[in-house]
Amino acid sequence: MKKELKLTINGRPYQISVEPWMTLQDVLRDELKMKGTKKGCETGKCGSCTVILEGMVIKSCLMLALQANGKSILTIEGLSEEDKLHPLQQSFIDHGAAQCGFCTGGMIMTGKDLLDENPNPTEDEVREGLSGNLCRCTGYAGIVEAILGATKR
Amino acid sequence: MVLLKQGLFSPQYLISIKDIASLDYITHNQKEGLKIGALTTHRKIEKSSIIKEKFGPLVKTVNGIGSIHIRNVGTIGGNLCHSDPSGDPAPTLIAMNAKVKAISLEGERTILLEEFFKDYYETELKEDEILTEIQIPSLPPNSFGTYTKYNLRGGGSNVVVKVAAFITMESEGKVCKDARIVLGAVGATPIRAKRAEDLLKGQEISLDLVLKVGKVASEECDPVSDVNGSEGYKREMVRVYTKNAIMECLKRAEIA
Repeated sequence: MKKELKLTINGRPYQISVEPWMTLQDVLRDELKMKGTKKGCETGKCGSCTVILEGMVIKSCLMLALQANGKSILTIEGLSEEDKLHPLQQSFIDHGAAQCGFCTGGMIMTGKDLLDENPNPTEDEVREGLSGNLCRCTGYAGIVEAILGATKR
Repeated sequence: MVLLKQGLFSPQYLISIKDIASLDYITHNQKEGLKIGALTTHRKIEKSSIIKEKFGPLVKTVNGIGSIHIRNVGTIGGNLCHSDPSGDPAPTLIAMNAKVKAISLEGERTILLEEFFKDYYETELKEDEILTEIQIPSLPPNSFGTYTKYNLRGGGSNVVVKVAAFITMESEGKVCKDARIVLGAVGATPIRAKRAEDLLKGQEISLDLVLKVGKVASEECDPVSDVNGSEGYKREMVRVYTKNAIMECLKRAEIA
């Protein structure tokens, strides 16, 4: 039996009917077609589905959509303004921090939360903050440099 | 949630209690100790200044759960009720002599956390009960504790062993008054290494004694061989990590 779900995503209100077993990730990708939030492990290990819910990073694969009812969500699609990339997105490009790109959205969302909370983190703090996001290509050095680099913008 | 997604758990109905705001709190006073509402997130516990100040090892413990993403959502009550033998908070809370409060329509009861865990993913809770509060008594004077764990990789990866240790020293000298050692991830539930604790109680602390305590603790656990390590390897790690945990407590007590 479908239930009504109200969300604010990237500043825009949405109202849709969802099955109660759908995760927030299912709703973002399959119902609302926002494919920047990736489906990786689907068990909370890889972080590629990271979104920011009410100012906190969460893994959207581990939250039922209805648990987010009435809340406000920021996804990777909401970072840039018009044609202007968010400083973190630009920094990822400048530092060559993406290879296949699958983890990148989650990395950037986690990086954003990290910098919102601590605008001048140390390398260790960045690495600790990223411990819930896996990258299988780059080996993390570029990603860490990109996040540190974005603080200087 | 992970069990649900893996199809290991398929309930017909699922009731979310996460919006019960009155179960999200941290209170403290010296007489009654620390009380944490079951729906308090790990992140809130980790950031609590009173817990940092008075119950430091709990902050270290909670800090090791998953990643920030997980700690922002996961609650202390949910963690305990899940009864995963490799859960982080249980060993530390048992070592701190914690109790939990459960309520049902029949009324409420308090359960010693040490007696709360029954088996893999099974607890003392009855079908009509929910866990509402975790109660941690104020630590006795001259108490020093820590939590250590060995996992294959950071960020919430699989854990080989976890050890929580608390020692209480006599006000002067090197004699240990009381000790509590709890082992995680090496049995169906957290295990108190009581024989190892007894070795320490009333004794003057020496390196030889601490080495012996590690060895006895490794005999008291009940690990199974799996992808994270063989039974023998896990026992060896229990020995090493128990020894290290006691040494860290002593360092805090400025004895070693």
